[in-house]
Amino acid sequence: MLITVAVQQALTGHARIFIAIAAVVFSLVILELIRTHRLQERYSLLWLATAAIMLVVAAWPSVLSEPGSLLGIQTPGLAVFGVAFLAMLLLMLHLTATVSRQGEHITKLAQELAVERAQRQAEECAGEAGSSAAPDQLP
Amino acid sequence: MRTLVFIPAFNEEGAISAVVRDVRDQLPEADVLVVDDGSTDQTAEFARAAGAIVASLPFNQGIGAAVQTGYIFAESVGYDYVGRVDGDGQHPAAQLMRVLEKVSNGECDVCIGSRFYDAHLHPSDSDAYKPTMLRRLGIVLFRWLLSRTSGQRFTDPTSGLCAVNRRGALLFAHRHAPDYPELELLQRAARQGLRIAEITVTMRPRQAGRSSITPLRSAYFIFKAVLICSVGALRGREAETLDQVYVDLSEPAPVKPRRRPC
Repeated sequence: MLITVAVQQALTGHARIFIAIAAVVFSLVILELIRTHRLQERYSLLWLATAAIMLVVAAWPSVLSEPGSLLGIQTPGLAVFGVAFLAMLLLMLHLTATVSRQGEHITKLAQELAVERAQRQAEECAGEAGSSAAPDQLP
Repeated sequence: MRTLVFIPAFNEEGAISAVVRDVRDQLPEADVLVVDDGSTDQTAEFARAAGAIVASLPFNQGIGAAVQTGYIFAESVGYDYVGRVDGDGQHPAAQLMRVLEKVSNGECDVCIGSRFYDAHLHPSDSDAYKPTMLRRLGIVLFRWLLSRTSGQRFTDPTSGLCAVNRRGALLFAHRHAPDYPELELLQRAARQGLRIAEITVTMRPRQAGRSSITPLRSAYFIFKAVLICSVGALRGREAETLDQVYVDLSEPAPVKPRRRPC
């Protein structure tokens, strides 16, 4: 109870309005990115959820007291940053994992293209060499 | 029995023609593939003019991906033996021939041309490869690291001069080793139970171009190598590849007719 009150005090009305406006602008930017196909839906869900959480925090700052006390953070203001920081870390880890996976995919594509090119070249010169060389090599 | 010799090359226009010709002279029966790792110079054109098949990666993917591309090509066409030399001209084709023989006569699945396997053999050879102090230190570290994590002794774990049979080619085509193909592939081969041998070879200094390894990057390289070897040691044996790896070597590689090169 004490913590709840403290969190409410830590986020002044001013800060709450600021967070709410930021969340709304954030959501609009996300929607615009989805609309113009610059953000895949599966990521948009994540970002919209983030914006929603920001709105919830602005409306009811006391929701932060629970995760804050769970982390053992006594200064309520720090709880806001603590939770946000952890969320960012997780998100970045997820993103670097995604980038790694995509890197693998790109490598695989490049290799398949390279092998395809080499095989085409080999076929072409097999064709140029004519029928004299090819048949006796065939199984 | 069909042999492929592949040459990973990144911006090696100064050396590549001579390397390809050297291999074709020494191993006239073998097909020669140059894996052009997104070179921005005329490597691909020169290689093709010298009579090699060229697999051009659309952009630079690093030595690990280039090496794997060579094995993927070998697998997709169907070769019995696959040799590899570097594109800078430091590996004489005559030496590769000796390494290949060791594999083709069935003594081992993977054979490495080592600069240090028997250092006493060529003590006064002025042509012999003389690594710099720093590189020698790196090699000693890599040697220790690989021996510890693979359970087998290697004298020259960073040598790019090697030959494999179909077992080795299958294993090496399977998954790519981004940074240190030599270290990681040897470790994988040892852990999969492949027979690995080393023979002494003499190498030349690189004939043209610049090495991709600079002293500045060395610390970073060593850190990555330690990480790669340690993580590799923690990986289990890849059971699903193991079945494929124990192919019957008495049968020649099945050749996909439409895909055979000249």
